[in-house]
Amino acid sequence: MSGVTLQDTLMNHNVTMRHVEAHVAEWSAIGPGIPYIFGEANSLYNQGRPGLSNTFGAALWAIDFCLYSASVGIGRIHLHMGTNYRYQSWQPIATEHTTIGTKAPYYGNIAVAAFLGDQRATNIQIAHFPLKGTGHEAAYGSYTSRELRKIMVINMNAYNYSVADPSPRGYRVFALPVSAELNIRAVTLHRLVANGSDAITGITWDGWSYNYELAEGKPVRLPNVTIGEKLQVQNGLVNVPVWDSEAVIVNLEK
Amino acid sequence: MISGNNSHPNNFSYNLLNNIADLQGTKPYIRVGGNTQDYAVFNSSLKAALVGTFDSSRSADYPTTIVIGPSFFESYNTWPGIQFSHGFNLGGNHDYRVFDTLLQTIPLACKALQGRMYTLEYGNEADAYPTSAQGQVRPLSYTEANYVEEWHEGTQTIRKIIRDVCPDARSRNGAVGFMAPSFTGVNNRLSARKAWEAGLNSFRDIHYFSSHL
Repeated sequence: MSGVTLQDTLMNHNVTMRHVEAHVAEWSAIGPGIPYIFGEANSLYNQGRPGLSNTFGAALWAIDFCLYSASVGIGRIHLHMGTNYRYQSWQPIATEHTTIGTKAPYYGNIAVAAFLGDQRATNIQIAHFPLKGTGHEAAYGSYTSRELRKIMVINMNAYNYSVADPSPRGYRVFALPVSAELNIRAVTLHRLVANGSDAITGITWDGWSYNYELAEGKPVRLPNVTIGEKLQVQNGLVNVPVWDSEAVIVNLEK
Repeated sequence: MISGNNSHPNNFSYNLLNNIADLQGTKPYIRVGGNTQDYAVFNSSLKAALVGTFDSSRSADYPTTIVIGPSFFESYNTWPGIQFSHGFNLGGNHDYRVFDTLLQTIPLACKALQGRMYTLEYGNEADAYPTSAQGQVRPLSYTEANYVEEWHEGTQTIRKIIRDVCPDARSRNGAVGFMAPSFTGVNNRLSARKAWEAGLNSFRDIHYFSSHL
């Protein structure tokens, strides 16, 4: 499987869009009149690849893939799992190959669920915001009754922290326009955080860990993670700094 | 199996599913199937839920010789509130017991899925049956029309037996339906579009157009 890398294959917004668009084209050509779903999907074939599919970078890929799919009308995604599979969101039992536990991709699933919000409401729409950048960033909006309530920003520039001499971690500032009509002075942030795109452990969502060892998968707030960040809207813009290999939900809800 | 059985449900998995449910307002829907659905042959005397034999020349990750017993379906009794899709065996793995497997597992599936039937599935990635890396199960001459004919034979059997054995069974829109065609993607040997045009949904019982990525 030469030429497959985290940065070029998974943490690559243009590649992910192309894969989904191929299905949209098929759907448009067929016009089946019923919901179009991905009955089985995940990052890489042959049940995923170690060092890629089991990392935090793959969690970020999963957010991009799921939200882009939602934005073009895909009705549901079944993310493929199996015992000992590399792209699994969790391993349900201990085996000789894999430890029992919550794996990196699960945290991408949590961030998507948090962004989608209560799906019993029928007035929620997900929009894709095209960005001018490196092709390794993505942004989405969540609208309730056509009013923008949340923005998801995914910074998929890779950062390897587990090397002998890691370089300083980069970050990018996303200037997000916030319409004056929304009458919002400040926004709150929920971050999906890990040490780098190569991280396979130590991930938190808004300070929550869902690790098996803590409470058998139930959420536990970790004491040393920043939460409750607020940013001011100034001149119709909010400037959101996002570390390379990180995702943030910007909440516009009052 | 990942959800456990009647005496040992997998609570860890249920906790993780509920975390997602708490955020998105509905519990995730679980589709049970994949390559392994097309290897599973039924043995009514088997005490274990599933006995699988691995063949590393086919796959190191999952068994490609599989026998399931009645207790396989106990997994569908776990995880209150979760809805499941059960996938039946169309590929067959050259095993003469495959149609018997269908006839025997339909009643077990519809009873186990009472009140929690998301949808049903017949065959996984049939577009790869002539070329599968895990072993060819249809000739290279297999066409979309062949697939549609087989799919109709099996799914009409499923619907008939469910009407007899589980007359109250419902999945979506007040009827029992399917996800299909569950092909590998958009660029492979058989085309989902040609299968659709060959009349895949002529009985109007496909509730979800399913494709794999």
